[in-house]
Amino acid sequence: MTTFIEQLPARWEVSQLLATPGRINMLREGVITLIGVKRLESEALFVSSEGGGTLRETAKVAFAGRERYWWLARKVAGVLRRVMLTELQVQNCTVDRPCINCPVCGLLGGLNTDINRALASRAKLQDLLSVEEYEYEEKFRIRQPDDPNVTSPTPFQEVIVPPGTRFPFIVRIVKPSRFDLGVFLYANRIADGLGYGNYSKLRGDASTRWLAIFDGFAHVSAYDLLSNGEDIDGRIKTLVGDPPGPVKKASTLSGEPLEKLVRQWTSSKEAWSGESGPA
Amino acid sequence: MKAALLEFELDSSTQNVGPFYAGHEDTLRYLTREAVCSALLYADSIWQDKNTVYQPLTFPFESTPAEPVDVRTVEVIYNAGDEPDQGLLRFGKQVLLLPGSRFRCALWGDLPLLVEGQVFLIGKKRAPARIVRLVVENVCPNYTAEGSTLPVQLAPDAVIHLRAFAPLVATQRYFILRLPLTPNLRRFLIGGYVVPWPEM
Repeated sequence: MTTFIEQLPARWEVSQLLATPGRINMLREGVITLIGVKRLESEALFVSSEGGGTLRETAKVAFAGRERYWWLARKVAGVLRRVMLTELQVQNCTVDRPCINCPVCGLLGGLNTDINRALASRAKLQDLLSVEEYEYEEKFRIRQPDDPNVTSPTPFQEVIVPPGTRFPFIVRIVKPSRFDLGVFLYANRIADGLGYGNYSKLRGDASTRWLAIFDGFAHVSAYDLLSNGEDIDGRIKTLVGDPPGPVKKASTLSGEPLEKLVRQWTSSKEAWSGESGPA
Repeated sequence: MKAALLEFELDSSTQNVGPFYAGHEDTLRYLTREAVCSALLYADSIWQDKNTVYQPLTFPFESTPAEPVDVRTVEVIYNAGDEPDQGLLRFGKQVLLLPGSRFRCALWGDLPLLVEGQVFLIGKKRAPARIVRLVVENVCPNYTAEGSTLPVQLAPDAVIHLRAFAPLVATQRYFILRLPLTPNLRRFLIGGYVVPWPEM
């Protein structure tokens, strides 16, 4: 079956992006809206405040009628960028010094202070706000000293996000190409396995279940998804049938075709990188 | 003349960066008229040469800045990057406008299509926001309307011509002001709010 994804341009080189007029109209250039649910598979700690003493606390925010765990978008974007840099084997570009010349900068943007040029991120991520209510529960932890001669361990406290916590994950890609979507889905899958937040070597693992990709700028908000109880899947399925906003409804990708695309594109780079394969 | 009053709520955190020194990046609680107009037109810069001088943006409609109605902020710590002593904002504090914060603004002129529930991207990092209240009416400018007044945004060189104002925000590029409803101030009423429209 031909999907609108196959009609997207194969990829944008940075030189092509820089050749466009600086200001664009997103709706004219095209937008795709991805909606999924991120679920924590292990505990996580998303620290955003200094805290007091030995306490480290996951951020929270009052939103859509309850206090929710607050997972800042940049904590996802940072892991995605590192994964993309590694997987695409980009040379001379780092998180600290984006080159503004590689496919990763082409999608996630960056500022090069040597040439004073900025590329905007075409992948618009938003903060993740939990479906489940924030629960303040201090976990008492012990850090064993590295030095074997020091015998006393250091106690500390953490307020973590428990495993199983779900977050609506809404992403928009402006002026999208097949490469943009492919590298995003691929990197997201690896990032989920690497983990997010504090001490992600041991925790912060997640999984993403993609439920829809809309051909257009869907007027879908986290508020809409969170303000009607915890049946977020049901809410998204309703939206798939009748997405609000400038969206080509007949093109919406969901269900089995979407699962198949995600399976294919997250298992092999060749599927979307343009080297070979069905993309 | 067609005008609209709209209120919108942030779906994600964002900033309108204000004072930024000593690793502390603060936010203004107002969003500029350029931010509002660009957002509602879905216009964005895909790249920027930071060496070029800022050129004023023009839009097919006018807007007030977005004033905070129920805005909450929080200070977060920031620790980015892999290598020490490279890049910007290595470690510091940022003040963010929180998700759920509500703003109000008025637009007039050749309005874009607006609907309640509409989502657009606004502010730093382009946070999604959704329209939660919308009033669209034909309005007649006058010199007598009374009521709660929305702020206006003016360039610094325009402010010096005003006889009276209360400054809310002052930057090198713009001032956001509350204007007293004097008899010679052109204005119009929309959705229960007076929108000053000074003749410059």
